[in-house]
Amino acid sequence: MASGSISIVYAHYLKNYYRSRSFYLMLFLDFLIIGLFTYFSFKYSGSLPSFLSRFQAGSKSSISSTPLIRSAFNYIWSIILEYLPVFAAVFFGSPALSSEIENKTAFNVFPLPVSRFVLHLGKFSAALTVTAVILGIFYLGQFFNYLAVYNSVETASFYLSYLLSIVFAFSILSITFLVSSIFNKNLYAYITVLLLYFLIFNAINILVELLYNYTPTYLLSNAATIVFRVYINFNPFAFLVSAGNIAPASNSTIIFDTSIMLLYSLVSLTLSLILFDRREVK
Amino acid sequence: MSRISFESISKTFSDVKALTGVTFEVNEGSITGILGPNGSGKSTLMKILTGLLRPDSGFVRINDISVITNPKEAMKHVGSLIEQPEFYTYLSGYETLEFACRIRGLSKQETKKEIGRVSQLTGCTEYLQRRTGGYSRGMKQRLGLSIALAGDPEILVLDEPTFGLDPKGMRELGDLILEMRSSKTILFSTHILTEARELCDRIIIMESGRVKYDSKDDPSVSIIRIKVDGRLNNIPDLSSFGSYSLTEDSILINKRKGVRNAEIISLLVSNGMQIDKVEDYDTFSAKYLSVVEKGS
Repeated sequence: MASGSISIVYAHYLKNYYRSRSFYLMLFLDFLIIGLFTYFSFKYSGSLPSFLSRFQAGSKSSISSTPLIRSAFNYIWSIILEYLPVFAAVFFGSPALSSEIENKTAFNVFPLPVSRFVLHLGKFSAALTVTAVILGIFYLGQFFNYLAVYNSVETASFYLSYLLSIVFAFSILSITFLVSSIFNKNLYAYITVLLLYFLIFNAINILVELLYNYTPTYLLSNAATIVFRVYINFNPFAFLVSAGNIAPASNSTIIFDTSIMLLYSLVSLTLSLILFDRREVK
Repeated sequence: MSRISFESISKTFSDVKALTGVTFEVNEGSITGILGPNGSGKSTLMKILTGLLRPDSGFVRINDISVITNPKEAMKHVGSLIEQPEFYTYLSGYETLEFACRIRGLSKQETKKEIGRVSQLTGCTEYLQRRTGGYSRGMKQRLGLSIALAGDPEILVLDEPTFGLDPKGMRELGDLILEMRSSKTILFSTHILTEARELCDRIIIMESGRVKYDSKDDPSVSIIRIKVDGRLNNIPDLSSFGSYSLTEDSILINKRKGVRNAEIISLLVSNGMQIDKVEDYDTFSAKYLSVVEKGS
């Protein structure tokens, strides 16, 4: 019965999401970024070997290796995927719960015979779906560009990166739902998520690196870099410690970073479910 | 049988006591109106009843199911319209109603029929296919009422249901509520006295978060004020008509049910009194005004 209710709630919110201005704005951003990357891909794909030669000292692989050059191509395309899920999550997740209060829709939805748990999970699943669609469109852009430049496709790390970007979207959406369950105003939720991700996480990262000389891998913003590091294990954000190498990320790194993202998801989602369930509507 | 019961409900917002020890029951098949000025606690009570707020203390039950511990089960019996309803703006009225029906366990086929039925009742059929983002206040109110009626719940909780409706809409809603009297238990709040008087079997007046008057406990129906020309001498015993009191030039009689004004006047006239003026006061109006005046 609960799963039946979740599917009804999911379908309802999904419709509302994909018709929303937020969705079309994200779609526009998606196509704009794809357009820009397509332009740069065709213009600079021939310069990749010289770009990679800058990191030759730390690399065990030969820069002339074709798979490495192709990985670098995907790596550059995927860098944007550290940000795209964040913006999608902010658009779809930040107002998800606070808008029920601010827009007063809670008055006719909450008294229906459906648990808040089901409402929350249904809405979360719908937000995750539209985020996955936005990411999927970007990956399709990446896929067809790769195909156009190299006339063939190596799918394994490509699929893995997409899967990891969904895990990242899952974790960042969980955080936005948590923030949204705290506030009554959408604007506060938007600002808080952006500040948290782009300011607080980065500030902690810089402080820890400066004071303790190591990269805080437990930060979501660092774990999320696995989305593009599955191609080349090079972290452009770590500036004091070793920036990695240009071989693909190892399985243990992938498992560790995925665990970190899932841990953020689990904690945030649990807390937001509790807060949403106890939420009063004045 | 009691359908809704409030037991010692108290609720405080910051320093403001919104409700203090509210206790009453609503019986099956009745229309109960909660009347009170703004800030009297009517909406807070409605929100507690529909699980939107939790009381600081006390119990709320619907068909003996606790709203606090088992809201989902309790709400299966309730259709509600709380405050001025708002909807997801990218969905149509039809989709909004469809959601409410499906959540209430109706199949797709049943949902289609039910949407036809309730939209007909509330008069929102013609704009059901439009997105709710473009609805007027009155349209939203009608759609909100449709959601409350969807799935034919046996209890209706309506918080100021005529808000935003034009006079025709108010009349239609009043007729609809009266039509449903035999089949549903209805609790609704309003600050419109005439609305409550016309529709309700029972009126509860709230002020400062407390129940100040319950017509269930008041056997009298109306108050009559008789202004006498001259001095108030030789007043006969009027207690058979109800309780009474004297002012400088008037007699105020809290009439018992079934007592006609003519009986009182003929007794006074037969005792040699000259009647100057007779004024009828509805009990609810008098009580309401006295509560509001004390509160202000």
